Amino acid sequence: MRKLLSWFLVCAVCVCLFAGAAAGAEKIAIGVAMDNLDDPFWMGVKKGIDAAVKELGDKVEINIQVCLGDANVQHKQIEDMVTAGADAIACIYVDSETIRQSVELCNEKNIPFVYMDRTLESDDEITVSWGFATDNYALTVAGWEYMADYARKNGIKWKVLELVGSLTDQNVLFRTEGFEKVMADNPGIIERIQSVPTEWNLEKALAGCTNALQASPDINCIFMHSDYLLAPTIQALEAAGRWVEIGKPGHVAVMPFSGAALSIQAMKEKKVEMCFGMDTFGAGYEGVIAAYNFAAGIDDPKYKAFVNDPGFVITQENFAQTAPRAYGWE
Amino acid sequence: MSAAREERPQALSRLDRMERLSEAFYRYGLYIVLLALVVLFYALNSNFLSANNAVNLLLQTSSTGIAAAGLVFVMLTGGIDISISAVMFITAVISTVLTDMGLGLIGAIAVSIACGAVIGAVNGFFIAKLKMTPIIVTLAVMYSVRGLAIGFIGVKTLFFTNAVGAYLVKTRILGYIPLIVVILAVVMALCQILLSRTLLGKQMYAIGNNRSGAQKMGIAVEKRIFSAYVLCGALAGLAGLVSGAQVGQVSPAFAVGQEFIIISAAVLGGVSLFGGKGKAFPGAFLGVLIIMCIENGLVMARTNMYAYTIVRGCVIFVAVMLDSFHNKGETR
Repeated sequence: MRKLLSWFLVCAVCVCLFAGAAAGAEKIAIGVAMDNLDDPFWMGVKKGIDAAVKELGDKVEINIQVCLGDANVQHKQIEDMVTAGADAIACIYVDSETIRQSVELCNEKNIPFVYMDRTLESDDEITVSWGFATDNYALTVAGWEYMADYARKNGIKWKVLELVGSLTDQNVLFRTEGFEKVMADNPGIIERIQSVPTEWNLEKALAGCTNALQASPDINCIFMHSDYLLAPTIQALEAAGRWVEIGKPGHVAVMPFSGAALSIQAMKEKKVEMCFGMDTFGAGYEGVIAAYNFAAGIDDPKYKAFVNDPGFVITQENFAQTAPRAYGWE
Repeated sequence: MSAAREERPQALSRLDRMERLSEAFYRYGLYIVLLALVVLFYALNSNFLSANNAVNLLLQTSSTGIAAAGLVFVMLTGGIDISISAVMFITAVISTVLTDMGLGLIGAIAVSIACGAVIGAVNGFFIAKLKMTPIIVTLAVMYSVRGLAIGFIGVKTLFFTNAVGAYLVKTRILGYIPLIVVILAVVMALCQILLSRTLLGKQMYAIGNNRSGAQKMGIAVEKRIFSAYVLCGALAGLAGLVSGAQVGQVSPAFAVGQEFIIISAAVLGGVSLFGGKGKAFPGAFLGVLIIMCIENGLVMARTNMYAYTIVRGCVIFVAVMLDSFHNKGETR
């Protein structure tokens, strides 16, 4: 009886495997490796991914993994997805060095690798199929040039506190470089008083912002590397009695990065002059469509050149036209 | 012959002096370090010694200080709790959700403490009753609790900016002292009274100093260790509420790595990693204050942003090194 049952189980497993393989054969399996989902920014990318998956319908089987900011976990997740039979990998990587192992693995298995949001270049060791990312340098330069013009028109000199994200995040470095370029071009208008590292930690952002405002009460501008840091910044400004509308005494110009709902709301309340806007939806959407096309062997000229999206600058003047493009627009 | 006899007492007295000096440094070193830091940072920026910055420093000390006070109980028994940050996270999540639904401040405090105490009880059960290693148990609990909280909020960010959060952050007693600082003071006072004036506290010291000896003396070791983890969890819960309200935002990365700051602050404050030594006040409080003072002072001094991590690492290293030197030769 036991023998019969064993044979029956073995046969059942084999039938299931063959049936699964036959059913899955028509679908393209795409593995999506995300850095995080703890921030409306990532949710914006996720909306784009979901829209692409909806559009592709039955043709695609999606496996989304979130590593919560741990680069090693992300590598393991990609390994697992490759082992599970992914036909393509679309990824928002955590660390530009660790991800190289994952790309090498994909290259070995002939699996296309597409990046979203953070850029990664092909070289002698790795080949990246395609990518969609924001040109953080260009966007920062555009935003800061607006602020320099704004200062010239209103007779202001910006004394800036820079709230830095993770020191190992390439996007962060591009944002700092863009800021430094415009600062160098406008020496009498923009002065960096202090750079405070936050490591994307909210408590550190709150403490750093509070301490900097104490140390240098003449700070009149806060440039943050993501609007993830906006809530603690508002808390610090409120405590200092400086979260007030534009033009009122003590006002501090806050420059949030990416276009979350909180930033858009602050702009509506006329407490924030401008916001850097990023096409998060586009990164998620195009990343999945490109991964599908590469895996399915579809030769679409759209995905020949890598996209370096310049983003958009939302200001009080162009708010009605540009703010609806932000992922935080409701 | 007589010269050799004279040399020996001299050598002994030199050794004695060194020991006394090191004992004095251990006893008053924290105050000396704090004073040196205050002088240094004041020289670099005169705003460092302003009344506003003093309040600011106390505010920044509050959530870490509350959690560190709880950790003292556990460390005194020779244990460790690295699930503190996860407890802070889950209580911040629960407090935010419940206060959004209309729960008041007292209710939020009670729920946070209760939630933390329950997680502390889980730690305590496995460590005290089942004799499992504290670091393994609290590590497992840390991952489980964080996973539970992330699952609960669906990897999203919550904003703790409702009336309760605002009340907690903005209320000033007598028009100047922040409510959060008052909470910190009350917690510190209660913890220190519990440690120095009650049987429970004295028994915790005894367990940390000599566990088997304490058992022979009839102390209910298991119960005391269990109580230590419950107290630690409860205060971590309260710290989570305070920190959530201060930051105004609770994301899955909330309080990540905070356990190491709390542990290093406690050790810096003289609470021994080997158990049986240390105080909530002034010890752990001063440890937290020194760490916050350094972070505050580095910003005040407009230090290069790459210096922060280096300085933080050095402080933790020095704290653990001092503890090891002080406990050299002691085995428990």
